[in-house]
Amino acid sequence: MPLVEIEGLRVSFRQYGGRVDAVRNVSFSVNEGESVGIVGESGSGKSVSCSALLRLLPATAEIEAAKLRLDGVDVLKANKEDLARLRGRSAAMIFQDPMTAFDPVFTIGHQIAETIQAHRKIGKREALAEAEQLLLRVEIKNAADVLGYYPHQLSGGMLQRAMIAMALSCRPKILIADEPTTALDVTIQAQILQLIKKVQAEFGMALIMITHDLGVIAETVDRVVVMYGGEIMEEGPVTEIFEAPKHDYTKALLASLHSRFEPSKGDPDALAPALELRGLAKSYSTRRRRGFRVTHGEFQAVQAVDVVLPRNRIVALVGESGSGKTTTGLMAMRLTEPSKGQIIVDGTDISRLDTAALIPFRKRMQIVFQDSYSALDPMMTLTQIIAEPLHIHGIGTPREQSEKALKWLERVGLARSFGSRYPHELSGGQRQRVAIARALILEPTVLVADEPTSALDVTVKAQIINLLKDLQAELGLSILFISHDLSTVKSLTDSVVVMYRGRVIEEAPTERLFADPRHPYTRALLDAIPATNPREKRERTFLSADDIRARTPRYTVIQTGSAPSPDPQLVTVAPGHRVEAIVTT
Amino acid sequence: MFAHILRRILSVAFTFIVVSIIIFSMMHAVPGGPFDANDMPVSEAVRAKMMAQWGLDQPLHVQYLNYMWGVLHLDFGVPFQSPGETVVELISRAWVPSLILGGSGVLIGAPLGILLGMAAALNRNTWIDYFASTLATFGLTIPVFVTSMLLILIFAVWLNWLPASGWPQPNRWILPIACYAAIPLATYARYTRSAVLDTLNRPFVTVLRAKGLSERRIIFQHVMRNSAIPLVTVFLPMFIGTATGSIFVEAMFRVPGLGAYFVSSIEVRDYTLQMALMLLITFMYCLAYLLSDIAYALLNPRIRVGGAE
Amino acid sequence: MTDIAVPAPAARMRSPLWFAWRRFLSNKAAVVGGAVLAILILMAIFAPLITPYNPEAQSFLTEALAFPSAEHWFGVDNLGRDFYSRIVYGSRVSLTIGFTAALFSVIIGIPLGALAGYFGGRIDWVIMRIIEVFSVVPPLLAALLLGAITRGGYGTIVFIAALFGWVQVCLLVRAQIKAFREKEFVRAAQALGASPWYIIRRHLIPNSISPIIIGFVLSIPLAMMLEASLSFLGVGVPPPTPTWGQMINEGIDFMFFYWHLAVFPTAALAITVLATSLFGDGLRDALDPTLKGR
Repeated sequence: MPLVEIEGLRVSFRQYGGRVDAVRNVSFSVNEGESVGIVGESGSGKSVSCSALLRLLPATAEIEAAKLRLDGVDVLKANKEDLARLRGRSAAMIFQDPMTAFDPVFTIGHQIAETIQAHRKIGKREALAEAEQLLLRVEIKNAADVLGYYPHQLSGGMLQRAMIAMALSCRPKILIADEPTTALDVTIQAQILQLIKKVQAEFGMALIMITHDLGVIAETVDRVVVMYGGEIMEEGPVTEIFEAPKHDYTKALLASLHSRFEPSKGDPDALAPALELRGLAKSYSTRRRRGFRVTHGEFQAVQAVDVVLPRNRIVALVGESGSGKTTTGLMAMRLTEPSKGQIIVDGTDISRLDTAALIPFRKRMQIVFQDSYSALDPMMTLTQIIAEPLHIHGIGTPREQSEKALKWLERVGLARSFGSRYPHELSGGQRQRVAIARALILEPTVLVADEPTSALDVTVKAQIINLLKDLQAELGLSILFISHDLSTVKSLTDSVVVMYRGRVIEEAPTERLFADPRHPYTRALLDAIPATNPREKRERTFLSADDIRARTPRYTVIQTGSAPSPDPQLVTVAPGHRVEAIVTT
Repeated sequence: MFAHILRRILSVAFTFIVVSIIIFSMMHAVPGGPFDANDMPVSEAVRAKMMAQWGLDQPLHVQYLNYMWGVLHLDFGVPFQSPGETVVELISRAWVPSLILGGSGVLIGAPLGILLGMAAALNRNTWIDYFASTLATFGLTIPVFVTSMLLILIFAVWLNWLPASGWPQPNRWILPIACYAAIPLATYARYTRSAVLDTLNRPFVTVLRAKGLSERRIIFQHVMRNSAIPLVTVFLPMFIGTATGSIFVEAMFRVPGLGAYFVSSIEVRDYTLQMALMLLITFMYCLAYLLSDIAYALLNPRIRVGGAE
Repeated sequence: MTDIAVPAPAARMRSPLWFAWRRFLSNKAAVVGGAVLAILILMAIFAPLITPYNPEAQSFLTEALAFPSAEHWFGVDNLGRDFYSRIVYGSRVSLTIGFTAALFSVIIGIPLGALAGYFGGRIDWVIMRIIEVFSVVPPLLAALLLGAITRGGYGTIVFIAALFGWVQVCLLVRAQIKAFREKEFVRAAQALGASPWYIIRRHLIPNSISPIIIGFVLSIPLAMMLEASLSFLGVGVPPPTPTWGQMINEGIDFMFFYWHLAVFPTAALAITVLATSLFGDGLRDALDPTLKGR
């Protein structure tokens, strides 16, 4: 008998004067020890189905099903004791955002121990000892210390590990992972996925992996359920889905995974780059107080970064959260004041210009942000939003301004009739189109794109990338594309600058970087990209910060022509390829 | 943690000094001092002598410093309206009724309010919730002198169960205590309800359910502990607000408390008593906010244990 | 450009305002409160038309202290004035003071809140210290003191009410602007070279309209209570202008024998304050669900 049996599941939510179906006619089953992936975009009902399985939905939800069984128990008829047994013991869950998944006022140890005690008659001391063992099994080295930590003292990756330990604490028969890596950095994501696979094998559990990311699916599961709009589109073994998708939606999903790369034409005649950052740095002064003594320190968010953006090219700035890539982008736009360094636009250093002198440059440089929802003023119509740059710079009459705005609305692929709408009426992708139209209406030469696609669903992401590519070619734009997502970067940009802890550690033309990465951190990043094919599953090695430091490449003076120094410096190893290395004699 | 508290102490002390300067200059800026010609028909020489005796002839900032120096030694001077005792003696005498009535009002009202608020949050959109919300709204919006009047009309005039007003006999305390209890009860009912609902909506509660914890344990250990943090911080300011007596309740029930003395000090323009009462109550509010901040920091691991590793 | 497939526009999504309106309508207490408030406003405006007698004329001295009757709905007061007319006219004082004080609270609160929220840092610190001063001073005692020093009067009460009322508006606006100044559309406007003044005026204030409305409506009952309290203590609007606080004060003396002199003004005040508060609470919950119960 299967561990999970769902047949004809329907979940609807009561709303003002009616019910909205979140999930319709969903049926699937999971056998013991099996790994099943549920893939779909936000709002496709993938999480709702699994929450229904543990009866975790809010009271406004109504659940109907021909069959909803977990571990031989009819979930819809389960009483309190049954539920307490099902939750945690039959099935355990891991959630998306580990930062909010722990109770902030209790220690990690307490929260794991109470889970154990809720299911077994066991003393607090023994439960804590067991919790420590569990933390060790999820590869937390200082397990004894972590027991006494509060959630806010741990990083996201560590918390997700602790979450997994907590899920394992009652030896569940099935582990439900609801987007367990979405809130984490790329390299951490891969580590957590590998950990989930490892503990699944060790504990002999079944696994339901809920995700929007086909890469995660390819890495972890045997069988896939594809959901869209609350219904199941397709179901089958993972290799079959990847190699012979039947449903159009699945095809579109896969297509977005394999977009091809065409380098942009560039402008060989132009001598000066469109934008050049020279030794740009940002430091924040920190104050630490111990009793009455105040010690002043400096936190280097960005350390002397050099980036060149040639005319008519797309350059990627890649790194994880905290690498300083966004700060660099904001400094280039003079939205954050740099502490040191120069920002050279068309031969002029704008890093010291005052507000008035900056205005002509404001027309030449624009920015697009990640979160398209907060990028548009909710109180303004789309026409007003797109025309705002013209309004601020006083270009044209109001009538001309809105006419031009409507033209741009069409240019980014939206109908003119959208002009009178408000942002809340649009989808994420449509909002991002509007944000792009606003950024480009002044026809700038430089565009800083700060993770413009990372909040979007996969299929929409590909459309926005194409739009950016097309507009770049048409307008002769130079784009600084900030991203944490190497697979997006691969299909869009001409060269890549990798940032790590506020420094540039490697830069190279895109193809060269992917083919021949020299810095250990770049390699770690590339290694962390999820497979695009289930046949490519592989074991990965992960590097700690110490490993990365220890493995910094070494070159001799003869190889590089740079002066020897015990401190790492950027050296040129091939035309256009620079890497941070230690130069020895 | 220590630095946080130190910063708060400095900030609160600064606020208190600013308030004391404002109150002091306000009192001295208005015409009509205690030795005004209209109120006290004496000769210029006598007036000047009296002014000198009270230190009223010196520049204002000197007067202020002299005054605050006295305050540091708990010397607020002698009240004009009862020169037989010092202000401190008068206040400690007048505070007893206010503290008994107001204090018991809070101590009765707050726990009842917490219970009511929890019941409302846990039984959302049932009659308990509606009852609690209605009661809270009434308690928070209807002025105390209206409640006082209604209570007197109902229990003293129409039903004739309890005496309407007066002080020392304990059976006269019941109605004023009921009036005082109304506000903490309403405040706590509303705060508790929204704090508990806020906590229930946080993601970690779903995680606790998914772990298979019993609903009882989730509510009484996790939800209560998290909701208690905002609740603790409102307690002390509210206690001070109520236990220093309400002008209205004391006027309606004829209780000789702090509020009653404040009103009479205004009527007879008793500077020293007004100043002393304002400063004292302000000081207690400052202290209450400070202690609440410390309690908040102690309850919240984010502040107590400090930042990430 | 041709390969971009944009789905045909689906049915228009409901606007946040529509949801706010539905939330408001589903709150019965708030709807009733709003309706009562509207009726009270109409009564205050058309007071001369709906009252049979002059509220200040002592026309019924012989019938002084008479209980309610068909002729005098709320009875006659101790000075021979028709009590119903006095109560209706009393709403004029209460409501005008409530609304004017709330207006001034908003006028002071918006710019200070906007400054503190947008610029933060030193300006924010100064404004927050000012607010802290107001939070540690017992408002009623301070108001009483101010009232006594200035000897009361219409303008003084509005001044005092606004003096203590702006804090709430300021905090609401500050919180909203603080949250919105980090939004990316503000960053985008800065990247376009817009001045802080332009951003505050065109983006931040329109987006703060909910807290401003909430702050305005919730300041009204506070000002009305303050007026009643001061009038009750005899430092409010001077007689013979009829105000509820004054009437309650006088009513207490007659409470044991002529209940109507105490009950009617008390009820009028309670109903008005309650209706306004319910309406304001409902608006707050409807416009900004995240502020609920603060």
